[in-house]
Amino acid sequence: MTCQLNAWTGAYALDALDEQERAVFAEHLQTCASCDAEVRSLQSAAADLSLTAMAEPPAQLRGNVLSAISQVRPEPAPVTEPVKASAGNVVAFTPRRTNRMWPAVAAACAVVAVGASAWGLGQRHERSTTAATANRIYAVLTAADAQSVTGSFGTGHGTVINSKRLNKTILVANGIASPKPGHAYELWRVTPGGAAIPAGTFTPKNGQAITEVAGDTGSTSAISITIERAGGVAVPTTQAVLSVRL
Amino acid sequence: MTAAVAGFAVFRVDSRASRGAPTSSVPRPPQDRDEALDVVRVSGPSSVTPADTSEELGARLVGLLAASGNGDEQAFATLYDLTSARVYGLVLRIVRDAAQAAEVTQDIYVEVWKQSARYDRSRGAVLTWMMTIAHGRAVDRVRSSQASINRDHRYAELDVVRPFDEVSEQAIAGMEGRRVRHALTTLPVAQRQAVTLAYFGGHTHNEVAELLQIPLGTAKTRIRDGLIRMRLALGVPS
Repeated sequence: MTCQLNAWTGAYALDALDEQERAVFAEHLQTCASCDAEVRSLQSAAADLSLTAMAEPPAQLRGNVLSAISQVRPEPAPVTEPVKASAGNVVAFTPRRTNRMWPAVAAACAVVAVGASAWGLGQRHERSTTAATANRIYAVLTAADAQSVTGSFGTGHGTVINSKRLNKTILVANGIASPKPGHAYELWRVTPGGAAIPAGTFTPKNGQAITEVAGDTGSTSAISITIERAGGVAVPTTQAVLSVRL
Repeated sequence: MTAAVAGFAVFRVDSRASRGAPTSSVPRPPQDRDEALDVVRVSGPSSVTPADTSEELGARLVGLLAASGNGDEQAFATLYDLTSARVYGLVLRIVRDAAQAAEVTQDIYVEVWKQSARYDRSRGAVLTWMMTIAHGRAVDRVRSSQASINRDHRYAELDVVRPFDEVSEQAIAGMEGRRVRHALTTLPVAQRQAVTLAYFGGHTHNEVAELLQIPLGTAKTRIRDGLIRMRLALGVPS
């Protein structure tokens, strides 16, 4: 069994994904041991390609580099990072995949394919519906007519990807703060008349979120995001943290 | 709606041969000419870089990077000496401008220094880690600086055989480089084009699809299949 996103590993390893796809796939790699292992081995093969392009740098570069690094300190090593796992599937990760591990890897991948936390979706979603959601997200990101707009979103930024053909819109956010406990980000579809229609809530994980804007965005003129109480409200009660015209 | 993210115009694509590596008596394995092969080809005997097997080098780099993480600038200087031709060479190949390549290379080393204590040995070799950072930075540069260039140029340049830049003329063609070039020749041309356009051209898979006039899904598949085949030919553990 393979992960449905493993077609992306090569393009990811060569930095050939678009920015929004890259964000989606980086998030995916956090929880898919199979894709993660493949990416790392492909990155190793890619790094070897650079052996065919070696060139001596200009002599003064060495001095410039050494004087630049003497101005900054290396960042401290991270506190031991726990192995990430989803939905109780703890995958002990080793750099080299063994056959013995394979079923566990496949299981972790299946969980990811089914969506849940990997896609940063609201907890209210049932797992069976998030499989369809993950597919819809994938469809929009890979749609031939997908267009994207990026705006600053608090401390980070948000990219809204829209496919007119599919009438679907996806939000990819990075570097954003988590709302206070009991609160969530709420998406709004803004109609040409200016009405705001609730389009789902989400909370970021590690500052990242990838979520679909609920409903048909065909007749939507803008997407807005506000901070509301968890579960969402019917009309926006705060200033938008991000507003993007489609 | 304006596209703020996708659609970078990156236009230089080349297919060329490099000549005149430094002479030595090391015999050269026969190289097939293949105009679609976007790598440095050596047509004369080449010098072999001294000493390091890649295992020895790899082990040394781990130690040097660990010392760097503790603030050892001397160790970092040695790390630079052992890796700078790799990093600079790749960056130059992608950004195609010596001044910009030097600038980007400096940024890369500052980043490597800053992240040195965070390198996780269990996740791959030091050089892989460094080259991954380097590739990302070089590609960022080429995409931001060429974003405004007319896309039409790219089609015209596909067939152009460009003379090799004078700096790359000196590209070191050691045993390892030869091994990689050979591995590349084992790829079907279609896969090799996709891989080299993405890796050395800094193209997104969308652009690879456009340049080769193939569907997006096909471009993605060719890139992945090509890399998997490379991995096999190079003996990288999967």
